[in-house]
Amino acid sequence: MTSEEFRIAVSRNSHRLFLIAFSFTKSTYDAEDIVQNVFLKLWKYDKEFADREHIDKWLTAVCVNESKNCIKSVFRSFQNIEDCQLASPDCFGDSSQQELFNAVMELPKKYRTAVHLFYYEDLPIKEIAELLGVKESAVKTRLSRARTKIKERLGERIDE
Amino acid sequence: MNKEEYRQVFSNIRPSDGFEERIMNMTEKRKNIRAGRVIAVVLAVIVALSFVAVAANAATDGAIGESVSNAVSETFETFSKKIAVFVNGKKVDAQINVTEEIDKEGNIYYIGRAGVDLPDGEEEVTVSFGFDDSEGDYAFTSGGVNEIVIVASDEEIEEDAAIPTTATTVISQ
Repeated sequence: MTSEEFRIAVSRNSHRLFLIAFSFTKSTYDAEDIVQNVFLKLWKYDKEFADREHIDKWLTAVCVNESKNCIKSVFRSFQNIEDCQLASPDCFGDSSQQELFNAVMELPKKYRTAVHLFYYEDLPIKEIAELLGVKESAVKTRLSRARTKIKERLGERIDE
Repeated sequence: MNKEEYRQVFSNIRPSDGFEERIMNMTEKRKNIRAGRVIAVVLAVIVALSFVAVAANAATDGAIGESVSNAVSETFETFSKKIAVFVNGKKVDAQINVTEEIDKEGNIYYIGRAGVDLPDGEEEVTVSFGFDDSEGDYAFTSGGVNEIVIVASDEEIEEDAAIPTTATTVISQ
């Protein structure tokens, strides 16, 4: 991969991958570490990609796997991350955005990551299942339970 | 909540200033950058028992592993120590060297190679592997002669059937 191809890949994917990692870790600091590590792996990767879409999917999978590893890491086990760690805590335009964000962040990790991959990444259930290493039925269950919890929290209907 | 609303909310979550620039700079200085939080736990492990390693190490005391690339990190060494190797039911002091590989789909594997001494007079030994209790999330899901595949199980798959935590392979001279 040339430097220019790498720069394009970073520009296209860094924020997207950052949010995936954040959905796992609830920490912008950990998410930055993960994404840097993902791009380091891309830079060192010595096989050819078919096209940009292949690069994007590869990066997504590596980011999910790195995030899984991060939250199981020895270092992480010594941390007590109940609340979100945001680089910019006051980043929301209005209170409704803040409330939705809080509701999602209060979800258990397994629901939160499925929700993010479905609602932000717009991935089909099948791909989410493959990324998370679970059955499609488990993804559907997680999304359903997540919607119920958010609905209870916000008192509104959740679009499916 | 719909997808557009969700995206609007989460688009507000940004990394710190200069994040992309740091990534670009990182590749320029990558040899000086440690992998950082490369993790002590594993998504997937393939333990390949090599006849070559067995033969090469047969004359030495104890079980030893084949040297692998100089990229083996402290993390990998820690992981290696968490795999116990048993020869004919007896735990041996095996060193398993682990390297990281990523396939075209972005799946990350950690491939370990171990060598074990065949006891004198034995033409065939049964070798089994097991994680210690702290690695209970991981399981052997398939295997064959000279190769065992260990795939991490998502801790949330509580509905799945019991997962074995040891696997056995047979090697012969």
